[in-house]
Amino acid sequence: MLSYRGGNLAAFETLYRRHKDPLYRYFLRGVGNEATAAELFQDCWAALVRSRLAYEPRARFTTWLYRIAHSKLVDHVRRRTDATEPLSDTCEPAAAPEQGPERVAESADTARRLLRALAALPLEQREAFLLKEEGGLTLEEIAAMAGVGRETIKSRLRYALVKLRDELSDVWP
Amino acid sequence: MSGPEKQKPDDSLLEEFLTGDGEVLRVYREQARAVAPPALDEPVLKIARDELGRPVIVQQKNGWGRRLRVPLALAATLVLSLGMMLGIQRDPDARREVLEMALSPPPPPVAASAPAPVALMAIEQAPPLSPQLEAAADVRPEPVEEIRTAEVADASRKRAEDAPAAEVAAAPPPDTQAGAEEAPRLSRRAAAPPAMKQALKQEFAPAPAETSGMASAAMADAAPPTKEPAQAWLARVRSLRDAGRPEEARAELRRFREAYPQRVLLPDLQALDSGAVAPVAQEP
Repeated sequence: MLSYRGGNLAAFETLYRRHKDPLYRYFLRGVGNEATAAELFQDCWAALVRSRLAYEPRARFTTWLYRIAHSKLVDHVRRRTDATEPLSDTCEPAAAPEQGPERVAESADTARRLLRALAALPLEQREAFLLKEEGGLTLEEIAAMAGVGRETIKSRLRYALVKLRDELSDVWP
Repeated sequence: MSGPEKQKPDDSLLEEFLTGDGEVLRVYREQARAVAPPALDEPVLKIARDELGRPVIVQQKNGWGRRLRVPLALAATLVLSLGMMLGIQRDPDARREVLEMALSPPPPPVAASAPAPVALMAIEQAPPLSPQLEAAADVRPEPVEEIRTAEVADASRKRAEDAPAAEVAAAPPPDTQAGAEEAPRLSRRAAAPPAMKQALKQEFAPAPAETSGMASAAMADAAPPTKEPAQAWLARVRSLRDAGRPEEARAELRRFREAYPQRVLLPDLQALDSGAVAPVAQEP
């Protein structure tokens, strides 16, 4: 990022390609809508780019990126009456190519149910999950971003994981 | 797995998750991996390219200078005020003149957080004045904010002349030992010279928000208060398109483009803009 700040576009492209997929999934799982996720994705990168001169390496780049993303997501959710919409069929989960058709269908169904359960979580729990899994942030970083304590984040994650597991309790004995 | 409806959250689940293990993560990672559509790449890279081509307004990056700005301003003000105080102390005519200025209607008050002008403390710490002038100075029961016209101020002075004993008794006497504590009350009773007040106002005005990368980044792309936020506006355009109202959608999109000329449209909206799209949701 410092290199991009100094005018090196290739440096930005490297950063972009490294982080774009997790960031896109963060928005997609956060809002449950592809078009909105795409807009938020673009807005987030635009905000990051336009603040390049203010960037200082006091924290990890990932932390900075997801702090912007967090604010975009929260602002968007606050403006909407319904936080998520059902995922479209184009969000078909990918299956391992070596699986047979029955296994593929079963895996896809499990993944769909998991994603629906994730989308049904309260925003705070869902976002804690996504920031940890997609953003790779530490509990402390997530807590600082959310303005709560570390134990609160742990509690949110516990409840989120229990709900996700319970949704698929017939699959996982 | 069965159990009570409100079972205690499972710590082992959390531990697994934090170490990157567990069924939830396995399913999520293996089966639910979406990737950013390639169509998003070029708009983002274009924004990054365009940003490098913009003229740069260099912000002061030296935290050192920013940290010292307020202390230096305070020190400069103190030196200036001390110089004035010494000048006033030495010159009785100047002292009387300052007092007369203090009795005149004050300008609008400075921000509440601004410290009281040091010059006022200098007046308070000056040697005692004649009793008549002292009594006139003490008669200022109304807060500064309520004094708007010279007529009102004159009326106050007239009341003081008519009933000086009662009003002087109501007002606490000046205390040369408590100049700092009296500063807020002094700001209500007297006014600093306008030029100094303006300078102090500028020096002690609320500092601009810290432009940390995070705060400024979050706000960097925010729309002005009068414009609808971009995402919400585009969501509305898509809703119109999907509802079989493409002309209205295009009209909204044109208005959006005028409001956000720098915004790069995603491919689906580019198609709408060019007139190539048919309504997604057809009326039966």
